[in-house]
Amino acid sequence: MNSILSVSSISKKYEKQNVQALNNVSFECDKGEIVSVVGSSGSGKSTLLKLISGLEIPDIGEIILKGTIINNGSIFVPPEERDCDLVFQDFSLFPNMTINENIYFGKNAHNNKSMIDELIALTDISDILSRYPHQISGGQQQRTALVRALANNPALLLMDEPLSHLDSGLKENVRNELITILKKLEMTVIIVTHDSEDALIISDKTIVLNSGNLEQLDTPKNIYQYPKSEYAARLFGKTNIVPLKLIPGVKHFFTQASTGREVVSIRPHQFILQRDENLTSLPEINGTIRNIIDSGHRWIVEIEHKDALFYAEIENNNSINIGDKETFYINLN
Amino acid sequence: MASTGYSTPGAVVAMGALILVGYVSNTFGILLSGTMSLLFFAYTVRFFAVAYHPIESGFEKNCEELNNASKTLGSSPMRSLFSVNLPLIKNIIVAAGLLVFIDATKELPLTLILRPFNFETLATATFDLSNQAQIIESSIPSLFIIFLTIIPIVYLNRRIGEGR
Repeated sequence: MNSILSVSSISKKYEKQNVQALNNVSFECDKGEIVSVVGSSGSGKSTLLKLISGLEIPDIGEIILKGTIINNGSIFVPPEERDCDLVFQDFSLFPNMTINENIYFGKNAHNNKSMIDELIALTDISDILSRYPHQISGGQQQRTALVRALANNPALLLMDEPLSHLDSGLKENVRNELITILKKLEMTVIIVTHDSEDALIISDKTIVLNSGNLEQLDTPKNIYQYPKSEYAARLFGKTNIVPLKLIPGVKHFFTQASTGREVVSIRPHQFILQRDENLTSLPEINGTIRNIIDSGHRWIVEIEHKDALFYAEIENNNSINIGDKETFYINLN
Repeated sequence: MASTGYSTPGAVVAMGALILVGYVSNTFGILLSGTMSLLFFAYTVRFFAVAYHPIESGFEKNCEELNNASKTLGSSPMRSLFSVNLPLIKNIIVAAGLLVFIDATKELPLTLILRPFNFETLATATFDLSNQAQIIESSIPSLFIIFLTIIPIVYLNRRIGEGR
């Protein structure tokens, strides 16, 4: 595949706050690829987008976009000359302009009229073109911001938490629309999100950032199943950090930073109650049931095993009670 | 530093301006004392802070993110300024201008020291007339000052009310 973006060893420190926002981060982005960047607050996600878009200047490192160096020690291409557009977290629609004027604001927009007409139809915003941003809903604002950025037909689209302002019902619809549009246009996208579900659904590749360091770079499914750190594991939802010695023979394990022990991330749904199934080939773990919580469609069971507490998610609790000693299989696939 | 003029007495600003133009006259041979240019320069020094702070906070509040959006969409800084920034802060600029107008209308010591010959403002006229014990006559420019400054105050109050 063709590499659209190459980021090599970029670092950025905010001197005033004495914060190392990014530290020696490198990755590549191929044409048509959707790359998500996940991490907790302050991990450097937005800084990474600002460096790529040119709104911030890296201290060291090199950024190459479409084969042209846009940033290194001696070169800095200003944001207005870079072939990439940024969709901001709050959409940043110009409040003094109508939706149509916002869409046609980009420097190349007037050359892409037919594509813009298609995008307007695809995003279903043709009825609101004469309105102002404050007169339309959050979902419509999100779609307008997306069309405005795509109207320039950039080589690279950067999106800073574009779904974070939307309520859960609307978010799902907008997310699905977003995937449809981006895949149809074969757009290369870097999308920053704090929601691991977004990363799992939207992206082909995920970058995990932790305090400015690149913690893991892999497909989101691989990071979910085989995280390389406790931080990456917890970022992708509830998990159990199980010592490797309890389930020996597991291939994917990592060293827990706080204890130095070799551990494995086991998701709650990977626990299977032994009396429900007969899966003798799987590793097993036993313990005392300390609590059973009804989560609506499943049961969260707290299992105490030698002072450690594990969480299992099972489909029914017909046969177990608090205080019982039970054995669980661990499905490693 | 540039905004310290407002906390400095008008007479001190006027003396500072005279020292500066004295230096300019001696060095470059340009006579500026007693001109309208010097008076406007001194007003700018004196009232810069009155206009600067509301415009700066308005810019920070309304324009920084939008400015970045404009840049990433390929706009030059000038296009961003005229298409995005100025339309968004035009009301703040007008309000800041009115605040300066109110202050400048009643400014006396600085105007007395730096005004050109035979140039009167409402404030200097009031001062001159009351100095000559023409108290009743001095009330006319005084009332004009009140009338002129009430108009922008009413306008600003309305804008603030609309903003709520």
